[in-house]
Amino acid sequence: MTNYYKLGDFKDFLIALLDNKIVDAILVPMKGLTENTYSPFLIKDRELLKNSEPISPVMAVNSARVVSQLTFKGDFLFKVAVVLKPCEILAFRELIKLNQINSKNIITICFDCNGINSLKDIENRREICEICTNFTPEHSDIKIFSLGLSESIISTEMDLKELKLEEVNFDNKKREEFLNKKLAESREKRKEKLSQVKAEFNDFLKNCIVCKNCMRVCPICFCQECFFDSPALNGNSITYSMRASRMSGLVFPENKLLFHLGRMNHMSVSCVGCGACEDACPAEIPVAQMFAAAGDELKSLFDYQPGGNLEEKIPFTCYEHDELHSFEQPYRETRKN
Amino acid sequence: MQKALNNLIQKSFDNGIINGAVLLSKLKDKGYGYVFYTKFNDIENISPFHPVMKINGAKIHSSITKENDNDSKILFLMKPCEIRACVELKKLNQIDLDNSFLISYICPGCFEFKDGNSFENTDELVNNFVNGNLDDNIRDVCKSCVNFDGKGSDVVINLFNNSFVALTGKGEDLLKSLKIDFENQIKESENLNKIRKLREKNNGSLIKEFKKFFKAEEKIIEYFDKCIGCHACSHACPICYCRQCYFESDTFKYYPDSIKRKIDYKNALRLPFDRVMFHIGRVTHMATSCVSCGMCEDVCPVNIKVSQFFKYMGNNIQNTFNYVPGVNREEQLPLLTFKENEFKEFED
Repeated sequence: MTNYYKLGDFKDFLIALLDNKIVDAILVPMKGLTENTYSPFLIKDRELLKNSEPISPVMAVNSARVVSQLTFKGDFLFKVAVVLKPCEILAFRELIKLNQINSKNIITICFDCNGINSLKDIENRREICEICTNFTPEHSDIKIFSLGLSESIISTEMDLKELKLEEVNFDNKKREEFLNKKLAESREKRKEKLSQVKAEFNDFLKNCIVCKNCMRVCPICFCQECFFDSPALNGNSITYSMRASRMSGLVFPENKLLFHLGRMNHMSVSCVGCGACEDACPAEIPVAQMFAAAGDELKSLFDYQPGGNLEEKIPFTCYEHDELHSFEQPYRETRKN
Repeated sequence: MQKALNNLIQKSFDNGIINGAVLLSKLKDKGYGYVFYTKFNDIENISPFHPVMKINGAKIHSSITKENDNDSKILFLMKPCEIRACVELKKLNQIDLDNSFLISYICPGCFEFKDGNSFENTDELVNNFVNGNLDDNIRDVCKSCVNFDGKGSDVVINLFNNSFVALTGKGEDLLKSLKIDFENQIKESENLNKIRKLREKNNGSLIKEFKKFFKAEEKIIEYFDKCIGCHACSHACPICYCRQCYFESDTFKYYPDSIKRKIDYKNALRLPFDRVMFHIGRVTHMATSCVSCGMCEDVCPVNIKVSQFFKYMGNNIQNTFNYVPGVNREEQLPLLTFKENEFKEFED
């Protein structure tokens, strides 16, 4: 049964969770020492929680990555509530499927997300958030509804009687209406924006310096050693000379297109559109939007939503011999001309 | 000067002295970048003094020559800091210098790669520099660079009197065999001296400013407050060549009991773990060899002045060991010359 409560202040709610021993610690963004700096903190002290910013205006790091760092070697030994944005919870669930997160002892809290600002330019809303279609808390233990409502509502299957929150009879109709409108708008914008991004794909890549920072901040790119950093792509002076002579000059850094296509190939079906790659790109390439453009098509092809059903297998892990023939082309046909 | 340079490259190819050259060029699609040529005829639109660095050239040198076959002789024309990184990487066994020629020039400085990529007035920049002025738009780390005269390379191009200067026997042999006139040391001139003074002054005030800021050790936490722990700086660094960085290794993935101990002790943990520790670790690992190329700062997504911090720390450490990275090829790395009886003053 779903219970609805009045939220009041988000921070007070987190403190109440701690005070009532529902959890022992909370993972939540908090301000750093300098202005406009936010990091996720794992907090055990109720006084410190008063300074937290559950709905932070930026995402320094995808919190799913942080949870993976915390639980990679085993489940938490104490109960933890993690506050995640909708895109972070999708990454969180995708990482559970990829065996990078041990999820026992974790309670997830997610909220209606209105989008966040760019890490580089805190005044500006990120473009990837403008075209986001996953802005509601779908899979968390505790959901916080606020879009289209005059006051925020907690929706949960958990029994939170001890917290002495004000129970309400929640009618989702007003919110649904608002969400449907917002979703339709976002979809429209997304379609337009992504077709534009697709057309300029090559232009964007011209600015790339192959620092691979997009891969390093990506929650889905969890590999300890990326294939594109491995010796598989190393050459020596002979092989480099051959390539340079064939191409009348080999441009460095090399393997630019290969790296992006390879990464797309490996993870775009699991891409949650969190935008961390775009935030971390020193060349200001709209990486997240490029991956969204590729990802959207792949996801509809495999009918797969990252972070959705935990039982559903990631397309990579369920290869069938007889599928997707429409994409096949026999070698002799490719070579015919 | 570029004509003379073209002549040098052409003659080297024609005489079979080299069979490859890595040169900064205007790219066909957009902007500027390093291109590896194997034939002189392929070379077009080189812009050797262009103020852009998208990747430290020493990394390119390393990828090409690390597994050497003793067959390819390649000419590298790069900025002084890239040359110094090459020499350091040679000492770290990541590069083969025996079969390559390192050519550099007295450097006017470099823009952030985003600006430098679309910059078109290199001639004007060089002219301005030769007249004794530093460009306002070059990076802070370039404004305070005191090793801008190409020491460490085989041949230096002196832009102030348009001459080649041979710094090593190898460079001398190259220029002699090509019958190109050269000098044996960089001729001092008024404008060069002016630039040197200007940069030394900038360097002095940078060090002073940092000394003031870092009067308390914990200030480092504030300095790296914005850090998101992406490690872009270490991956762009030419000296950080390790395939697997210690700070990305299994050591820094903690067991649940260790996390419990940490949170019980501290009440709050800032994440991702070891953000500042990473920078301290990197300083101890590579600051003796830091050539202040500024790539770390250029790629930092949150605009931390990483390079200036490493310049400051590097300066302190390099002075302690009386070591200038990348200038003298014979000098050993400080980390390799441990003596039992030294630095008692740092001991507790």
